[in-house]
Amino acid sequence: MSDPIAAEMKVTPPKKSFWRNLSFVWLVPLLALFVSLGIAWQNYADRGTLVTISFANASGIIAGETTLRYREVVIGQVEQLRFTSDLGRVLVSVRVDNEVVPFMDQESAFWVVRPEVSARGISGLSTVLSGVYIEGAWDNVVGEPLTNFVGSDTPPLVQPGRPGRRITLATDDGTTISSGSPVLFRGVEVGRVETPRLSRDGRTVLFDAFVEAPHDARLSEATRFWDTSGFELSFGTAGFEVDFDSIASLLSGGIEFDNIYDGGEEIGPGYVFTLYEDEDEARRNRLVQGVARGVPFSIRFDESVAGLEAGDDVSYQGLDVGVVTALRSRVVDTEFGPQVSLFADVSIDPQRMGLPQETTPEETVEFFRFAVTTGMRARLATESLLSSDLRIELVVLDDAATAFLTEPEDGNPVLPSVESNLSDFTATAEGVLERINALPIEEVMQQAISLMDSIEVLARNEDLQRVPGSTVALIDDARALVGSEALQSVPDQIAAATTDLQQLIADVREGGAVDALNRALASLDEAMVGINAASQNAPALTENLTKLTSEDIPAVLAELQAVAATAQALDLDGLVNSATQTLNRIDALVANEAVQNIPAGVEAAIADVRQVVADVREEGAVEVLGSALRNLDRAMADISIASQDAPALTQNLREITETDIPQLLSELEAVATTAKELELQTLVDSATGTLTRVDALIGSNETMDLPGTLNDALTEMRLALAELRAGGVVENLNATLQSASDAAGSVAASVEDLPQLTARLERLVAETEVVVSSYGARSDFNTQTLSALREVQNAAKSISDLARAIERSPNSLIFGR
Amino acid sequence: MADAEPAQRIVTARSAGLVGCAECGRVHRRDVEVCTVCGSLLRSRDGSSLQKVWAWLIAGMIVYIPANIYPMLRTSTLGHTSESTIIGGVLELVEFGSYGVAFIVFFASVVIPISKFIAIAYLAYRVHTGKRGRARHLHLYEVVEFIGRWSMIDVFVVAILSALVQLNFVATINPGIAAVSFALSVAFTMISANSFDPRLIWDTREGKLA
Repeated sequence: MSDPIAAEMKVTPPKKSFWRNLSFVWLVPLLALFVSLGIAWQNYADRGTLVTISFANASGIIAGETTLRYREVVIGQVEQLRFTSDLGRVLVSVRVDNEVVPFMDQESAFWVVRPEVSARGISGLSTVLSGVYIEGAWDNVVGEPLTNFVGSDTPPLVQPGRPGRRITLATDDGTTISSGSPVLFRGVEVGRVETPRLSRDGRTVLFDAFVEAPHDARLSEATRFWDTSGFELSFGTAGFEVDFDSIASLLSGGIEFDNIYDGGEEIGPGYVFTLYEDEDEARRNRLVQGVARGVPFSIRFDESVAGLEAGDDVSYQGLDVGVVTALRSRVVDTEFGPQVSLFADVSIDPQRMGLPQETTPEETVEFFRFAVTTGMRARLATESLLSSDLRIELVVLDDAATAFLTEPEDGNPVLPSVESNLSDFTATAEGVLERINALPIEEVMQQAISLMDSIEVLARNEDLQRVPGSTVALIDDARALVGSEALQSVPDQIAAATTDLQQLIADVREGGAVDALNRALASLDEAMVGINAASQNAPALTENLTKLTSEDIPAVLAELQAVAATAQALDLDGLVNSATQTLNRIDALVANEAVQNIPAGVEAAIADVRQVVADVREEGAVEVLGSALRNLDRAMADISIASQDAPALTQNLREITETDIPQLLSELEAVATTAKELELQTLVDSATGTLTRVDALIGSNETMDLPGTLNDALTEMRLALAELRAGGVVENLNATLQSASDAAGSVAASVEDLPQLTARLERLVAETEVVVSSYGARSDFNTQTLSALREVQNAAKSISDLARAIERSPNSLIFGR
Repeated sequence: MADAEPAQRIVTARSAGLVGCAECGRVHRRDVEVCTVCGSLLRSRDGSSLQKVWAWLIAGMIVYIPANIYPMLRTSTLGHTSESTIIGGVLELVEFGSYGVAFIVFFASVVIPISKFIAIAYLAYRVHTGKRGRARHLHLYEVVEFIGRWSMIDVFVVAILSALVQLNFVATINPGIAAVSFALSVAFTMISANSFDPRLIWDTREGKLA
């Protein structure tokens, strides 16, 4: 009997629900998974597009490192480098950002940026350290995307997408233009030149140029391009001048363009511009314009047209109105048979002639038809004075032969032409030089030289050089004479004498001895009358002498000198001899002591008078005066006798001065005048005659006695006065003194003139002495003068011939006789 | 008879109704929730610990993949940029001739994480299948847990380099994505190892699942 055993209870843990036990921790791996996947997915999606660019070589490109940049921003990276199938190029696979891929279209350009040093500058330096990178350029227009591109090694000269226009230029010589040369417009860079290439036939060098907007709007058919590369070196009056546009154009060449006329037409796509050498040539070449707008004419020339070529201008009154398009020759039937004539085809622009814009060619021809009837002709003319380039000018000639505009059916209207007056400047210049050569300049020069030599010799002549010295000495002597104390003291003495006399008169008046004086004075009167008469002559005498010395004799001297200057050598010996004789006499006269003693005598006389008066005063007694007066009376009688001669003497002198000497002088004048007329023999004869007469005059006793007579008179006066002094008579002093005072007055008056007279006499004598001595004493002065005069005459003759020739026809200087 | 059943059944604490604190070791009675010494939660066995282990382990594995694919360092010297992954870096170091460094990097960045993955997976698997555990598993566990943190050395290197080598153009080092990824991977495996309750090994040892 056992208890029932409970069954084993199976205790099993409750079944864990899978989901209930799932803890939240499983989120972590899930999250990690998602995040990882998300990142991976995003990386993958953002990777960008693989683009393939082919290059010639992959220098510097490293897969995985080299970047592709656009505007310096990295937009992609090179992943892989491969070759093309023929190993010709390198394919670079670049992973490019997706934002940029749509813009990479047909016109994209890729290039490798490397450090580059060129004339345009240094670029790409940053790539030295960071490695090269590929740069791309495309426009900002979404186009058809491509994935295969062709890259280049150098950047394209024109960024794709830059607005502008690409044109083609042609030139013969491409040495000055290189890729990258700037295109300039008025000095501003407006474009770039791309690499030159040869044309197919190898004769022309073509290159593309890109002109940026907005300047590409200026391009038209009127545009001309010229080369401004290099520099221009000119050496002118201002010194060296170096002219170049810019350093870039200096190093890499440059092109400049400009429109040479307005209103050019649009250029088509295949238009090729010509590159000219320089600006002048470009501007001159208006062939295109002339042909396009001008009306064609022909001009026939019957003369040589060497120097005229197609492209030369046709001008009307200096304004270019057209251009020569061609030169040709044609056989023309004339009355002399078939002849070859030269025709120049020109194209004249009606607008430049001034016709309105819409003028039709027919209207232009009509206008020229009218113009020809009014005298318009065509003519050849030189471009400039010294060049031999020709151009055609249209001139309106008033005197042209009638001609008309001929209009043949098979050609252009023919403008009539006239002969040209091409002045050959070189021939003219040669002719002028020949004429100048033919002038007898050398002979004239030689004669002038010999004349100058003679004048020099003449001037060097010692005598001539002594003349001024002598003149100066003469003046000094005269001055000395005038200034000599003797003469200067004469007025003082006279004044003193007058004072003394006045006092004496006063005393005498007190004395009251009048009668004796009266008697004395009566005789004194007579004497004084005589002296008066003489002295009356004296002013006239002095006047004559003055006239003589101041006018006549200098005139004669001048004449004589003129005679000497114009005399020609002939027989003057006789003249010389008689002149010498005359001179000797004059010498003797001058040397005469009497003449030289004249002033001394006068002085002494005056001194005596003073002395007398002094004595008279000293004595103080009228009695003494009376006796003196008696003596004076006697003396006066003597003096009157003597002075009776004086008038005659002075009369003689007067005669001499009034008549003889003037006569002589007039004769000399006549001689001189005659001498001027180059009548030499008569000159000599009259000179000889004159000299003989002078000789006679001087040799006459009267003249020889003149000083002696004067001296005698003075001596007598002196004696009388001495007697008077010795006697001591004073009674008749009053009246005597009255008359004496009168006498003294007239004496004073006459004596006043005496110094001048003597001075002039001295001067005259000295002058005559000098002139005559210099003339006569040395005869080689004569010969030299004469030879000089001969030379002068020859020279004068030649010059006068020349002057006459020129005077007759001034043109002869240039054109010859 | 190998491995015969023990003569005497050892009384486990669990079966005795006692639980020991995981942190400080103080033994408490089973119904006590919080340790009276250190204050940590008293848990005899965590039922979901294996899930955690597996979850964190898988997360770590997932994150380890980008750590190897993506570059660890981005080096720019004189404008020349290069990126290197872990293995790429190791290979470069070997090319450079720095075998020691290469070995260290390889060991720390490749060998240890992968061995950790394998180890923890193995342990979790054994526990999961209830296989009998041995002492060596416990040793393995301890090694894994100890050495886990040292994988961070690679991340540390990247951090130091990135911080120091900032010489602008001459040399610049930047961390790549792989550094973050690798750090996460290491962290995840560390958490995974940390959530593994080694007592589970004993349980299996005793043939009993907790």
